[in-house]
Amino acid sequence: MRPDPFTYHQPKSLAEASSLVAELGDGATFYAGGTELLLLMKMQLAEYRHLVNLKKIDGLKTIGVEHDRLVIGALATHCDIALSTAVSKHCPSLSRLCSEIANIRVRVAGTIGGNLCFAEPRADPPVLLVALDAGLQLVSAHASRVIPASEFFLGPFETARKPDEILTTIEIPLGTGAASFERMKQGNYSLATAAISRSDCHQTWIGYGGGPPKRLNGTGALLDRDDGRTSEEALFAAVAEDIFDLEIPSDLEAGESYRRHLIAVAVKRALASLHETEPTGVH
Amino acid sequence: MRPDLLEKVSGKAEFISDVSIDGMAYGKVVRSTEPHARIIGMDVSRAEQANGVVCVLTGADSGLLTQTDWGLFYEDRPVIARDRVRYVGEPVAVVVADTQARAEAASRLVVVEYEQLSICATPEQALAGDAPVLHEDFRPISDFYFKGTARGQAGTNVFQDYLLERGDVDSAERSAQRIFEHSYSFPGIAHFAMEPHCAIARFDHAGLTIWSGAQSPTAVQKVLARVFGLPIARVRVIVPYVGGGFGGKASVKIEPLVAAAARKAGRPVKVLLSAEESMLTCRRLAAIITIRTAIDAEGAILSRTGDIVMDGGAYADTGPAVALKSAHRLVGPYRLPNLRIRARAVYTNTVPGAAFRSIGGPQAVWATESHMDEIAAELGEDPVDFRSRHLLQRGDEVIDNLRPLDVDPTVMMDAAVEATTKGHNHASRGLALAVTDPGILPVAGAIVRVHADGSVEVRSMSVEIGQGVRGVLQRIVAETLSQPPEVIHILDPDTAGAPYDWGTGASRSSMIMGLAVEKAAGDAVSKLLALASEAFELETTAISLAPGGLKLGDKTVSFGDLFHAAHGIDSGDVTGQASITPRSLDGKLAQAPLFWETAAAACTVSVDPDTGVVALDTYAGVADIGRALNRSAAEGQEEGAAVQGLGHALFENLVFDDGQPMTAMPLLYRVPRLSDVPADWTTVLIENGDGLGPMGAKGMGEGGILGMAPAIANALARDHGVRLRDLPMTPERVWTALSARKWHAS
Repeated sequence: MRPDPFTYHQPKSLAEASSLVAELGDGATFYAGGTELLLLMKMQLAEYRHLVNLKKIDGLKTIGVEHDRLVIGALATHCDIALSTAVSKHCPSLSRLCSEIANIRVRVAGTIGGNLCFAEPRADPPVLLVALDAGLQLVSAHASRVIPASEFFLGPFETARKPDEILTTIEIPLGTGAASFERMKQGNYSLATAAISRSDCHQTWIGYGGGPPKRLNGTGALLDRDDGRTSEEALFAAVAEDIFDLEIPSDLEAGESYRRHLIAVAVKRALASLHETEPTGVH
Repeated sequence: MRPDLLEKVSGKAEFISDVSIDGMAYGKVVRSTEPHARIIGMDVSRAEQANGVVCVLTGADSGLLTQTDWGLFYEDRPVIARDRVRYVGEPVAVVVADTQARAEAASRLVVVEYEQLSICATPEQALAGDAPVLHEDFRPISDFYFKGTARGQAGTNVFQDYLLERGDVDSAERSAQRIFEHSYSFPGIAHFAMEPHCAIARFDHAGLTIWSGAQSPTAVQKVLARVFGLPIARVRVIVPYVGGGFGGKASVKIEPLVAAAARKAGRPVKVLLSAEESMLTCRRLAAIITIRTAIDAEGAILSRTGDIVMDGGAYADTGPAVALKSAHRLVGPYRLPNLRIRARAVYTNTVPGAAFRSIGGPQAVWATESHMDEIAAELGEDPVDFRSRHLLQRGDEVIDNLRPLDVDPTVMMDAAVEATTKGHNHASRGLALAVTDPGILPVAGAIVRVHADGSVEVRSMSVEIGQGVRGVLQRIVAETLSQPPEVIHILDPDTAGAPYDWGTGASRSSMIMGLAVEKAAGDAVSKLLALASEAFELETTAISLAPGGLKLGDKTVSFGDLFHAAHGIDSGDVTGQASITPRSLDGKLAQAPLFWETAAAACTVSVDPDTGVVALDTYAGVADIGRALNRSAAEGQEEGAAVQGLGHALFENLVFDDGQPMTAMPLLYRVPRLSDVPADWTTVLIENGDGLGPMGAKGMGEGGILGMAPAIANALARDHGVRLRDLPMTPERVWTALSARKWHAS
């Protein structure tokens, strides 16, 4: 099916874009690649009368190091990030993740900002970015703020972004330690994703398809306690306890107990690749 | 090179979805959201008033039709639902508008009011004593598309009940040392052709013309003639390139609906389904198969029984033939002195079942070849040795009264084993064998016309659907006429110009249409020689064809020279025409099957113990095809079929939950990818030139799909200790089996 007719706006500045969406209200949204949005509109699951394209605004695709941060413009495509030498040097796990997202047609059109703002609970980038302690800069016509990625994702398809706010940059602090991620993907989406970063302690985050990235505190504490010597049994037990109360989806793609198991496998493998990448990683 | 390939990779090839007709409007189908319901109200007024809308076709328009219901074994399917729907996706209205976008927008304004009826979502429910009956009125039609009559039971949901019997199974089982029984399940599978269903219909003074991506254009022609009360001579079907079908575009699908929309609109109408809609149009029949084998004290098979129940969906389509063939294909290339196989197909409130590459084959072979390995394991015998002791030989009878076996199963099995062993001494590998009897009707015709400029047109109804048939026909005509292939032009199938042919499917075109064009080209040669003999006053024995024209002794003349000499102007043509019938080749085509389509498959797999993900590491497929008429196309078909079988084995599953399709969209339906295909892949084509087709060819293209799933399951059992009996073998199922095994071991 085709989407219902809509008006396509091409503002030249952030302020103009933000004001447009504020004026047009509920029927308007930002367009930052369309790999998710247009799919929903074609399936009649989302209806917008106005799309405000952000791709014509200068400066939103820049990737580089500024002071102690890797700064990625939100309109950079997955492909831009995968091919960036700055990203592969300072954050190889993100580089790998972006090179493996969906398929090449999605990677050349879809943007990191679009991905994060869509907040698909099965998406991988949010999990890694919260583990990397990334900050997200949100800009509207009147204000600008930076919030930690861990406070950005509120639930499936739900974020802290206000309707007229535009995610402009993702800032990843450098020199905080190694980070790794692994995902368990069998169909079109990941069933489980894990990301572990280590500065002075292990930050262990998972994606499980049911909500925002979830931090596994017990597992992180276990890894801090007996670094490098954790047995699989102990690790799996710690993960199981951390996710015991979590509402894990159960559907045709996979049942709940298999998904719980895959979360532990993802953590195990993320830990293994963390050990492999140390001490390079983010530094 | 195949003549279609350059056109396709350069984007010049015209597929049905590319075709545009003057004055054409676009239809969008409104589909039932209920698995079984009475239509108690329909409001199309808002849709009719929407921008650009030409008309809305509904069941209330059935008066436009001479015959309101059609089918291949039963006239059980309404052109458009009248007062009742039987599956989610059944067409209830077609909104016709001047653009595709307007038709789609207006289609959302149609309001249908349903009163739910109790449903049969599964074969178990359909067979229950108190099941709602989906079709009260049984009207079987005989010898309409396939030979024979379906044996349904009026007052029930069983639309086919076929029994294949030999010897006395009961007394064999009484004398048996051991009896093994296992049950297997096979899900519904989407055809998933790259191009969805599409058709354009136009009524005018000449009658009805339909452009369609159809595999069986003459069946479409016949059904449309009945539905609209037209002479067959006034129904014209044209088929450009088709972007894949695999049986999903065989027999008749959306054409009656599209033509009805055009009849009401009073102008040409095009309907192009989405990929999702194609998944709601037809599918492979799901099956539950229980199989039992009796063994004597020496370990020899005494008897086999099989009970096959197929989920045929809401309308029978060609399901009765699918069920019949599944019984034949459960036999396998083995000596089975006593045999009793019952195959039933039942109506359920799901997407209608239909033909799919080797009808009933993958379902039956999945069961029978898994079962063979399970018996071997119980007997503590190597599966190769166990099979060897029971293998049929060339000339043996597989099924009574059918053509004796025309291949050597031992040679095929050994080739598959050898290709996957390769000196590595892999003790563990999965193996599967299959024999199938293609349901080929040996009826076809062709016209080969030689023009004055030396170009040659070939008119046949064989559809180029990606398999490379045009290249094969081109080669046969070129060789028969002694002309270079590039002067041979294979025209788009068009019933207005080409003779009757049964259809493109069942591995038949290279063989049957190959014979027809070979004979038609031979007829053209005879006529050219006779004309040259008259024109040049020579004995025909002194004349032969040569590239660009004819050789008269040591002199060469062009076809233009010939027509000039014969007609006084250098214009004219010679038309060769031929038919193939069961009496052709001195009656050799009368016995079924025309050849046995056989397969041997072997593979090794690895399993990720953490996740249950199965990876195919090595694969070998063997086919006896008599003669490869185009080697790369033949290998492509064999390998494509096996990769499609890999989808059946590991990924694909059309799930219905209380009749609601849960995975009928590409986003939720995983098909095999190139990254799932191992580099270590061997394809062996056995060529003894012993087929009845041109140059000794047999048909091919379906066998490769048969062995993959059981070969993988058998490798999983031998190498990894888990036996799976349900498809697909998803990571979760494999992991669950691995976990259960670990739990039992501890």
